[in-house]
Amino acid sequence: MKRYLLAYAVVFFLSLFVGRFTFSPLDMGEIEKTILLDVRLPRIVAASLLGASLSLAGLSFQNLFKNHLAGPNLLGVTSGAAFGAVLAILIFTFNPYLVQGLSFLFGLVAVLIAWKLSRLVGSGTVGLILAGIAVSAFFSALVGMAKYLADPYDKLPTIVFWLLGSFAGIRWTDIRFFSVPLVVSILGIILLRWPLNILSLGDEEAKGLGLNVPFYRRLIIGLAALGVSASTAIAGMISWVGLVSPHIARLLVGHDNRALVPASALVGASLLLICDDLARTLTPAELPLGVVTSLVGAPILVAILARRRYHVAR
Amino acid sequence: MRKALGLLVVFILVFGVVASGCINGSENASMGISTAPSSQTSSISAQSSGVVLTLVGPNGEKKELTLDDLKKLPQTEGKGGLKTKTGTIKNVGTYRGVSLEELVKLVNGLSGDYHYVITAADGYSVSVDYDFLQGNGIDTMDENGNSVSGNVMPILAYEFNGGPIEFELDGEVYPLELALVSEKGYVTPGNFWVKAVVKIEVVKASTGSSSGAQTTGYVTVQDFRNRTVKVKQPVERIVSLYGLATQMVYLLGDGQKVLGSTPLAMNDGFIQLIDPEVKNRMVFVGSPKSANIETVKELNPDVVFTAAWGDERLNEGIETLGIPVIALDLETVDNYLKSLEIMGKVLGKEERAKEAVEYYRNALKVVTEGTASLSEGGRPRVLLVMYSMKSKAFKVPGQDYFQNRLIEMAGGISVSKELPGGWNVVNVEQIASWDPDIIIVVSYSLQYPSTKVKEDIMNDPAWQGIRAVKEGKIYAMPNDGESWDYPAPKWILGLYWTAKVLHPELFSDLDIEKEANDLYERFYGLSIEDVTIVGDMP
Repeated sequence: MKRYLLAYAVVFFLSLFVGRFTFSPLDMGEIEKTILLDVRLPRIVAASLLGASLSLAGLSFQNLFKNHLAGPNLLGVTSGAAFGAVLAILIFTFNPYLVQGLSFLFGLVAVLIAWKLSRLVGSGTVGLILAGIAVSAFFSALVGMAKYLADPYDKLPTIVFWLLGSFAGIRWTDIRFFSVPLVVSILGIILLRWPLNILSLGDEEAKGLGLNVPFYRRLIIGLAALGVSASTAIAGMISWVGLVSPHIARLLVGHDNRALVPASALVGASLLLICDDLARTLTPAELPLGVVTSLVGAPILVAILARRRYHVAR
Repeated sequence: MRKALGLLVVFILVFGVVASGCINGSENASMGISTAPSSQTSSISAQSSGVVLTLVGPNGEKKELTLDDLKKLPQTEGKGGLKTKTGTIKNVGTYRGVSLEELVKLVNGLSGDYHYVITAADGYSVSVDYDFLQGNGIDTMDENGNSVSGNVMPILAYEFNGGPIEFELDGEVYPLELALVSEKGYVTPGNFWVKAVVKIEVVKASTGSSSGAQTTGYVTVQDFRNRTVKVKQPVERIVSLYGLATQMVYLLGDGQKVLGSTPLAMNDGFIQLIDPEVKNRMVFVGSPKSANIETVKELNPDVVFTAAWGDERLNEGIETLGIPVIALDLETVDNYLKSLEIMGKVLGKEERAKEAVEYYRNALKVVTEGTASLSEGGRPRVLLVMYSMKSKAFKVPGQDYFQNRLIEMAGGISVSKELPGGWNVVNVEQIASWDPDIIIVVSYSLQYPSTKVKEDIMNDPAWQGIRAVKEGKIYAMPNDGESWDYPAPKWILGLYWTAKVLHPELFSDLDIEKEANDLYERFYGLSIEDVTIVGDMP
């Protein structure tokens, strides 16, 4: 684990010194200091927190639903949060705090609806997944509708920009509030890594081992939803990281959640940080984050898969 | 279950066939006269004894002529051909007929005081003046379509390459065509070649009308798809899929006729000021790329305006319903003015469009002449930023966008002009590394105006190190409900404003508020007191 922590620390440190505005760290004036401390540092912290949180949410869902294709949006959290933001943009126009607030709120509401609906559909994880898919589709449709109706010169670009996901313009004020749910979510899931191990065996087995399955399941879903809602509220929809980071971590440390959970957090944080570094430095204009995460994440996954096969074959 | 599915598929297929049949049917029905005069020797005896042409004199005197009557008049024979708007040259050959001059003499109509309205069997008409009758002021071309100088004679032809001319329309045959002929066989623009002429009317020239050919009944324009589009006059109902075009219709004073448009126009604060009913009247019909054809048809417009970048399949869909579609491009200065002329013609507001074009050209001249002498070093590096509505993230215009042209014309260098496409998100680091001399802030919402964005930037510690902010050279672009930086009619005020912001010493006697007042008064009948302008005034 120390190895991965060190790797993350290196990424973190290097990120501080890459950017469009180049300067020597040894000779810093007023503007250089501002850029380092007020522009880059909050952005790096935000990317790390979001990466860790999304990755843990993905990992939790993959364990709970015994489905390796599960990502943070499985229960409609991201779609709900996106709709909340779009709603705020359409109605309240220019109030970034309201946009973030409503986004956070709707992310949680979406999960709540999915949870309640699953009771109608029938108990069990499959019911919950189906309810989540339905909620996700519903909110995505509402977002699509809002995009169709939005003013093409004024609101539509905002919505599109918001949905694509970006860390542009993140400052301390933006993460001051949302760092609380993010940290709660990350620490909570790390602390629950032992029950997560048991839950991944399946409901029957977990019950047999004396675990209060409904309680822990609810708790973990709640924590994951908290993190994903906060992430989406800060940076919009970020794809791929939450799905792929747990897989990368699994290939590195194996399936035991006691090691896998912290490793996933570190992998997610590093991956999103690298992607954001690329998004903000490659061209004068910021690249859409979602594009970079997919472009970077996919080859990494394949590379690690190939390496593992090599080890196994030997 | 499988059976039901099969039935459904069959039903959909049948429905599709029927629906497409309907569309084709209406297309055929809207076809007018066949396009080429035929030189077949088939008989047109039915017409040779009947009346083929009605002449109406200046005092209402009427004269009806049969084909035989025409043949007794002095004959003119010559070669000619026409060039269509799309550039094809066709119907080149020898025409025989009677000159227009001879014809109007019959009703004592040959004078410079008169105009001549030539009407075709389908109601299409062209009005020409005395000069035209003499063959003056008509573009002539050689057989390859290259301009050459030469003289042509307008005649009413009934013979083409030795055979009779015949146009079929609704079962009737019409034997006359307006042809422009000469010994050398010059090619002339196709819009004068009126087919199936049935009437020539001599009318007193109305004062102030333009010279050359002017059309009534229908107008024909060439749009930005290079299509020749015929629009029936007068235009009373308009659908505009292109928000910028809607704003231009208002500039020409016909805004109340727009029944369907896009949110850009419907939420435009300035339009709401001059047309408070806009939100109740206008229906959201979609965009140039995705409009609802049925909604468009339901509004029953006389014309649809769209953007040159729109979806051509959509345009064709609307055209099959018999509604003319005109594609405009309002996103460069030249095309903006060209579009203004096209729109003026379509709306029957040629005079007003001409006045507007002149107004824009004069303003352009004032600014570009002022900045022409600037050396490269005298042109400040300018960054135009728009708030993205995501906290502290800003967008800047890429190479395709009009704002860069505006800054260049005003004597500045846009630092973001190399970026791709339209709006690009940039971070403050990039702005620090550009370190522009001047920053211009725009906002398209009055709920969060450019002045507020400017304030945010000035209060953000991260921007403090940037020179333009330190030196206070950051300016909020005015917005009167329409921001002045994009190609809405007010861009010309934006140009004045930018020029004055960049070069206060060159434009010290330019009073932006006075210019704005002038524009409001001239085109909207408002004074500056009626309009709320939010932004910095240099």
